[in-house]
Amino acid sequence: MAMLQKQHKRKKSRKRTKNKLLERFKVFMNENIKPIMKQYGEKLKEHGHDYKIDVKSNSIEMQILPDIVKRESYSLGSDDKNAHIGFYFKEGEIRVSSLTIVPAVSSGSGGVRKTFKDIDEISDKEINIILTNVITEIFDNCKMAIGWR
Amino acid sequence: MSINDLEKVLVSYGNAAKTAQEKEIEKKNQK
Repeated sequence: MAMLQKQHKRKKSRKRTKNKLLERFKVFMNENIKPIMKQYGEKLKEHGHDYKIDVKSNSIEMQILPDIVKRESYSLGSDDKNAHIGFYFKEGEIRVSSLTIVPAVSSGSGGVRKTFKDIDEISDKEINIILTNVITEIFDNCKMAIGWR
Repeated sequence: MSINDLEKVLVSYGNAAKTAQEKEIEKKNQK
């Protein structure tokens, strides 16, 4: 009986830790990730591209819409298929996931790029690096699309 | 890696897109 109680307590404590991390992630998402994403998005707009930021209760996702996609109506029709970068809180950790495939080009990659166990592991510098890397990959793929036509 | 690096990437892409467009126009004019 005592063992069951201990297990129950441990489970409860894990859940509390998870919830605390989620609450901290929500604040971090709105106060750190979102402003940096906006900064990058505005830079994209300056160059004739577009972006969209989607915030949910446990995630933030930035869709990157290069001009080639807008101009030539290459959009695949579903937001999930657009090139994107996202930070998601899942199973007690923060996952960074991306999709760099641009319509009309078959190269690119998608999936989880990185995972963080705690908010303290993610600095603003880290967010900048991730966004720069993903967007660079996307535009490298766009370059290929232009070259292949 | 920062937003300045992104600026370079976007300028480079813009130049490539412009060149590709010019080539396409040239091709059309030749026909």
